[in-house]
Amino acid sequence: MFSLSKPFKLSNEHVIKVRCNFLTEEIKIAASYVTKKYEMKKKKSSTPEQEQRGFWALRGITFQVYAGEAIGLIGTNGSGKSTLSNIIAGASKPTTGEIVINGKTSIISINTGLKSELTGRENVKLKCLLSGMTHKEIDAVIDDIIEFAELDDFIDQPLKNYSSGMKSRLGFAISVHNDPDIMIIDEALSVGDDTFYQRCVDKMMEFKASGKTIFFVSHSKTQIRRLCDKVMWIHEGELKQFGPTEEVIEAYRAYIKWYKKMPKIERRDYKKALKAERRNFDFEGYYEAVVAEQPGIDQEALHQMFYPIRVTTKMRMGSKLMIIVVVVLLCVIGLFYMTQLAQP
Amino acid sequence: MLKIKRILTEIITNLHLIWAVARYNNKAAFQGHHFGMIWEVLDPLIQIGINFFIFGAMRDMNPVRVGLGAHYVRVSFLPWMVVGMSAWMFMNRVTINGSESVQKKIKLVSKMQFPISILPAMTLASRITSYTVTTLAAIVILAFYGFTPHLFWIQAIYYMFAMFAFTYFFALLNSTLTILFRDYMQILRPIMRFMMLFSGVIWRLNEMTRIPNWFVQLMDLNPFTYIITGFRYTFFGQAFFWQHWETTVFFWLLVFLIAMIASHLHLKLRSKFIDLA
Repeated sequence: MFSLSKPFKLSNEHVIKVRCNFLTEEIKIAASYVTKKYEMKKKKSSTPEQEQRGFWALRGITFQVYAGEAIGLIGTNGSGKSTLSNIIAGASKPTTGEIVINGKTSIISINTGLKSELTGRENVKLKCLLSGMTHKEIDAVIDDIIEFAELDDFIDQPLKNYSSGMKSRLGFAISVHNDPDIMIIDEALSVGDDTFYQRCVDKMMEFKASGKTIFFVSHSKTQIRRLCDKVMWIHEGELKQFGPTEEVIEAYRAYIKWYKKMPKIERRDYKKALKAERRNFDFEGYYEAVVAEQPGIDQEALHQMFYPIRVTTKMRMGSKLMIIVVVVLLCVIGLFYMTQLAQP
Repeated sequence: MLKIKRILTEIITNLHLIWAVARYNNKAAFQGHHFGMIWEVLDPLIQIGINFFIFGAMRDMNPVRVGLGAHYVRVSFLPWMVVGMSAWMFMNRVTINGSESVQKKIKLVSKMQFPISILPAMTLASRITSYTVTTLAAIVILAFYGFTPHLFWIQAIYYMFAMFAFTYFFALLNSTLTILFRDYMQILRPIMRFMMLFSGVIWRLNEMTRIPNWFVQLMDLNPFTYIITGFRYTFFGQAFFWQHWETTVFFWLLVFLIAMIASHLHLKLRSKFIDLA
């Protein structure tokens, strides 16, 4: 059932046919044949041949996500979930393929942007500023944030006096009030006790209702069940399955069970083979398979997606000329100055 | 040209953010200290004191000649040094810290959404307080030596602007280069130490008899020297910036060149920083 499939087997579930009635038709995120390769250099200076040995963190992800959906992202460790969420957030770019994001994204990251020497209130202002809010916008939401974080008097204490739970609550409260269109939560809801968690979930449901899209990366099936309509299962860099929550979670569970039943030696070989697949990803083969599966597709556009002509932002001719002129002028003036001065 | 414009637009639209973050950084730096924010004033003053002691009190302090061409004035060592030192301390810290700023904060920038080009500007903004303190100290010392405030001092604004422009674009260039070659910082640091000795901060190169003439003149062209001597000309009422037009033109051409290369490289490689750093 879970044999070592060919790396470029596309699943059909990625095309969503079912739409719930509260969804709008608007596509928020569309990924087409996204891959991401990391270089595996042993030393900082390695030859180009050695550089060819890369590690394909993502091997062709294609999906569409509509507004108002809450998508869960599950998969074993190292399968590429965080890489994918970084690409969706716009923090890194895919190696090939295309990702179209229709709105403002925000990663709900709890600890970034906080300075432990400043007070809670100052941190709220700082982090909001860093997220691109103006002073006016911050003044409007600062009371909501403080209330949501439930910190009372501690808000005016320096952050280093907080417990880790308090820090996380503050960070989460700030991130959540940023008001993005697309929120990406990378395992951030695993902090705080149940009462706080409940309020987080309520807030998420509010967002869903107002048409915001949510990406929720988590290992906790209960949390995903509660929050998400659909789940994406990323397995070793591929989109193994994308469909309604229950279906995918069941399939994932079955896989885990199967994996656990394997004897240790088989497990090790299996893992090794998977890693090898990702290292030796046959990119050409992938391209050909995509072309073969959809004969009616626009070949030109597809080729551009897979083998992008590196549109390097080269300097325009005018700028190059200007630089040459400036350098010449510098030399002329420099020499003139130096020859002119005879005395100290 | 367009790229420079883009970088400048990014800075201007984010001024409130730059200023606020710089302020918060400074606040955080002295948090928990018993004397707190007083160190913002004391620290630069102590540095000036130490430098004066090392380079002034331990040697023969002949009055130093400040002037352009035939018209000049002899100034005592302390005010002469302090005027130069205050500009140097600012330029040095902004260059070194600004060049490291992108590499150190790369994670922050990838998670938050603001243009990376404002990071060196944040470093610049955070050093302005210290610069103000040292300049005020210089003005006070000048008064003691008989150099009272004069309308001529308005020229200082021109030199401040020149200083900001140069240090920002230089830091922008260095920050991009550091991400490509980590080693660059190890080269930049000794260069800055070298600059301190050869940019006229603590002694006039002309007085060093061992150094060949052409080298002295070459160092006159270096941008750090331009700013420092410019401030000295201003505060001691010696020369307008157009009176030494060769160095002025050279300086601005150099700043323009650095700005073009820095903006081009930065904008081109921006999206790859997160993978390279």
